Amino acid sequence: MGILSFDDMGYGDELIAGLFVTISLALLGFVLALTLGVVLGVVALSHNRLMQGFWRTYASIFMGVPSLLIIFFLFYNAPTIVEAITSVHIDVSAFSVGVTSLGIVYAAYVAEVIRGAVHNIPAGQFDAARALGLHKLYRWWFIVLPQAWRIALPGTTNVWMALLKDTALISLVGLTDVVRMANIASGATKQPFIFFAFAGLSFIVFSALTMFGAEQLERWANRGQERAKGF
Amino acid sequence: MSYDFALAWRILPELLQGTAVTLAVVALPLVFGMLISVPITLARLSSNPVLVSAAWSFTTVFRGAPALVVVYLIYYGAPTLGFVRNTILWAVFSEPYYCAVIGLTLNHAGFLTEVIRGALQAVPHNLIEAAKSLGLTRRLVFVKITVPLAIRYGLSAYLNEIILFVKGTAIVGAITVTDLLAVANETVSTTYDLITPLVSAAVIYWVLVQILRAIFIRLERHLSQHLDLDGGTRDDRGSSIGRSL
Repeated sequence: MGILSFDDMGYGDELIAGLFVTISLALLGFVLALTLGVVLGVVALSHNRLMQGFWRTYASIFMGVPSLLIIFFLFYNAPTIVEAITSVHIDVSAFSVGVTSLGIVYAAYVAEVIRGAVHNIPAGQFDAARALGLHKLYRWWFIVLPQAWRIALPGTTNVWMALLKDTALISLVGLTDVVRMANIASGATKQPFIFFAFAGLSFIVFSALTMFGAEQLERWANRGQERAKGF
Repeated sequence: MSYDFALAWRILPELLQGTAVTLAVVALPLVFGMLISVPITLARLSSNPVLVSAAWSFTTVFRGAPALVVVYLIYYGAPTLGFVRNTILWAVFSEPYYCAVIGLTLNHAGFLTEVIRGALQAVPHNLIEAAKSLGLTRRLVFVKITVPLAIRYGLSAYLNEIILFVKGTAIVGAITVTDLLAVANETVSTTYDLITPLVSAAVIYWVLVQILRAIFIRLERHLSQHLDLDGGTRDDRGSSIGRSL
């Protein structure tokens, strides 16, 4: 049976189109999460009590509430919010709601990873930089950043994998990603197994590829580091 | 539009009913997930290559696929199988709640095996060797040395996993289980209030997560009271495993 074929009778082309939507959503969401996450990470690391309070509240909300709820909330309210800020009414697509909500939610996790990485840098490094009279920006750029990004790498990989899988949630507000395509196709053909297995497998393959890539990147990032032997 | 306290008060009973469904959808997978994760982890750590690769495949599949897809696969897929439809199994698979429980159990177990594995492997090797050299049997070493330490090491990773899992159960609305989020969504469409029901549901989820966190902090303090860690650095071994977010 040609239910997976690429012509009008099969769902092959629809599934591939869905995959592209999933990937572009995940990539854009991840870029937004990284950008917001770095800003939030700086806020989280500041000693200002107001900033600390803001970080605690942000993290507590977005780590304590299901991302699907955030997605629904933004889906219903984004037009109002946009209109309140820009006083222009625009229809908000499921895709942009997806990018925004995943970006906002996972920024909290990115910031947490960054905060953890910076805290893992030995205090002596900060002291030494200060003792050498390095300017604050130099200290961050030349001492902290080169060490922190290496420590932050595995955590960032985890964030990416979780975000990738959460793109499936956007199908519930109508985005035609691979999960929704599989849903439509299985409803029309009464062959749910093959389509959902395809959707599931594509996520598993993406995860496996990510893991492989991340391993290479980590090996490269840690090339100057001596690892404890025997593990 | 803003938060409507009167409406929130009026829909509170329905939301609490939804909360009960959410708790029911959380509780069974927590129990079943633990029951199947322990043998799978032991298989993963065994020296039998068949067991190892079977356990590895289980973990890879259910960690890699989104819970929503797994739940869909069971909910829509099971009725197409003849042996499910024509046997007693149908009583289970015709009920969306049980489909959700099965799918979420598999998803939770996929992550839990990694938590348990990390915790078991975090136990220092020299402690196990010391116990062996004292003449303890393998079984005794495992029960008296490895497991108690692994529970302590794995606790924070387990908490992280449970929190992510509880939030992840919000997808069951997609297969018509009326959990907390599904109830909130229904009230959105009946009251035309786009903010109050969802914010109320968010508060309830948030409180659930904080309760879990408080329980685990208690438990952790109780299990490590002999270490006198208060004010000192916390033992975080095994915390960056599993979903590790």
